[in-house]
Amino acid sequence: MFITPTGLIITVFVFFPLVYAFIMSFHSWNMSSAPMYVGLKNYIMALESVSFWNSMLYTVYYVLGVLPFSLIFGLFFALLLKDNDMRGTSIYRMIYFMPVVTSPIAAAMGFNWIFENQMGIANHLIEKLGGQPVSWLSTPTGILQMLFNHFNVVLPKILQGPSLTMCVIILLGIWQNVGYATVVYLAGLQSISDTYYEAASLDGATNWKKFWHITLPLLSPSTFFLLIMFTIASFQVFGPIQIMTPAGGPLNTTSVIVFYLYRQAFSYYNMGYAMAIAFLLMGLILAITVFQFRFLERRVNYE
Amino acid sequence: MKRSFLVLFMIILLVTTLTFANVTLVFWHSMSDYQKPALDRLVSEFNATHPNIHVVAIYEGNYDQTVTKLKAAFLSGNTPDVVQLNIEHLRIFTANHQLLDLSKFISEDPSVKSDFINSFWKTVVINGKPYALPFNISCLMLFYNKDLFRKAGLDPNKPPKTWKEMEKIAKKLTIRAPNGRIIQYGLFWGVSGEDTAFYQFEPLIWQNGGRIFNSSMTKCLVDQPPAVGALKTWKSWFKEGISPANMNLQEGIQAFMMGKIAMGPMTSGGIRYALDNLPWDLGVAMLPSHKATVTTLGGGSLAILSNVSPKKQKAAWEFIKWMTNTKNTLYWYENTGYLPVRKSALNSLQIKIIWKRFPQLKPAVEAIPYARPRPVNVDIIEIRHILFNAIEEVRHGIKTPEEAFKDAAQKIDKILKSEETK
Repeated sequence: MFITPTGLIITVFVFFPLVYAFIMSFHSWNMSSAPMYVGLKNYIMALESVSFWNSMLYTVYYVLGVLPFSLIFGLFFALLLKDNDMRGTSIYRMIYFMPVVTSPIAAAMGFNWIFENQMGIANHLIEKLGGQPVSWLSTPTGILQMLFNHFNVVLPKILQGPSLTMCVIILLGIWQNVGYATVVYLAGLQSISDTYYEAASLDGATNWKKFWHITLPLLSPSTFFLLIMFTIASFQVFGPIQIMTPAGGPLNTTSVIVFYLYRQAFSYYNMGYAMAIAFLLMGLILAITVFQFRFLERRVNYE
Repeated sequence: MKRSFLVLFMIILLVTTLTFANVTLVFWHSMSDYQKPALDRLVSEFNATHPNIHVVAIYEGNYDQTVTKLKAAFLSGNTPDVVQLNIEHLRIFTANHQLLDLSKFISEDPSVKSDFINSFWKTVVINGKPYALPFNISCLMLFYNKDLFRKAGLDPNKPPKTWKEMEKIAKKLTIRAPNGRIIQYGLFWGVSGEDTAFYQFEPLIWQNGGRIFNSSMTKCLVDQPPAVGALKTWKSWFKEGISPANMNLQEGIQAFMMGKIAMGPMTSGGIRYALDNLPWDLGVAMLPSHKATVTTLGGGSLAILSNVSPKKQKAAWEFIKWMTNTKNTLYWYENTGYLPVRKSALNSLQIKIIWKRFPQLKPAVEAIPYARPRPVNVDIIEIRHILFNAIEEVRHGIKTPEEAFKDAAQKIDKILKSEETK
């Protein structure tokens, strides 16, 4: 009885569209003509498409770029801000949390302005320091390939790394995630009892050992939580990409999977195909999350 | 308190306009920035002079976004009555009979049809039936910075007439700093977003004597020598450093406005904006020619949806006819740079007065006989993106011009083939 309102809302706005989208993924539909049943064709087309796999690769680059750095910097800042006696701690905490509450769209426009070719602050600084300006937003070469260019080695596509433009977007992702990670880690740190550290000090443990053997294991629930949240969010990144590279970046190197899906649905009107991609993405995220729960959760230390 | 009064006032205003106006038309358009005030003025003047019709103009994003929204509107049944559609997008909706066939109104009003410029009229006729009235038609013009011409010792009234001349002038206008870095580029051609890049590239194929599609739109012809040749020439402009290879759309426009780029093809629809906002002396000329003299014809039209009631259809016809009449098309031309669509406007006295005030608007009208409409197709948006990616691959040196256009033609042929079976 009491769940009826919520249940109704969920049915209308979540369950119904989900089922409808799933049915549509077996149809060919351009939003104007009547849908045509095509069976598994959309799924096969996606798995055979080069652009689809490229988008997958770019998405993986994004996830692998954003995840570790968000966690490391988040932990780093949390350790710095842990001290309650330090002056202005709350102000610093607020500053580090600010990127999280900034709208991704506004942040993306800000980053665009920083890395603009002609008038951007980044290039301005580089030039002041005597360097050559860099085309941040229009270089399709992967960053690893750039390194290997000095040795005249051409890497296979999968190893070339994210394009420079993608790196700028990854930087934006990290910048937005760090504040959130910091707050979660701070909460985690504050729940670790001082007695562990005191006992360790009596045994003559160094600061590094304390961190490695006490802090890190006892923070693992926070790390696990962040890992799952960031993985899901990173696979679904779209806003900054649409704003910073509305055409999918140089040679489509920032066309991540959700961007590709949006393109297919709302630019080319291949609705069925887009739905199929959406379900492939859902399957992938589900598989990764299940993997994380089954294999990583074992290593989590619950107090 | 203040706010509630304001809300109440708005409601009263809305209710009175709705009750006094017999017919209310919802009009979706894609005119933003500098074009919107001009459009809004036209609409409010129409409302003032037509007491029994009230038009509500709503901005719906750019042309591509309008297509998406209109498609969604048809699904939800919340469609507008009149819509501004890019002439390339008309087919997307006529294919499903969603636009009103205007033949009936045209036969009642034969003078309307004969007064439209023939080449413009052709863009709204599909399978022999007119589905819209041409409204904001533009052609691609060469914009150039007269101040930079003067500084380089060139005659600012002699813009390049051929590709060769343009390359020569562009080289002269490309300036390097002592450390070898280019600080001013001579040319900016087709280095922009996917909507505009191929728009600027198309005329190069035509000027080189080539075609993009066969006449029945069943085969893509960019893998033929004229198109590949045009691509090679275009690529050489980057190789020689006269055109910037490292700028995207916003960056290029920014640089052009700052006077760091001397020439580039731009739509005539932006002439008036450029005149009002550029800090330097703007020159506008016909695109340089090669084997042929051609420029691209693009722009939008006004269409009525097929599901509106007969009473509204009549009002809507009145509205789109009024928007494109001689007086208003001249007003629109003067305030934006979009071409006048009526023959009577071209021969009018007013246009000569406009030319006296804004001489840069004149070359666009002179280019009309050479303007060729862009290819149209139901899947034109996807096709254009494929072609854009092809020229990008060449610009970044991933593929040779031959490979890139061969691959693109194959992909496009596949799309065209799938349409036949639909």
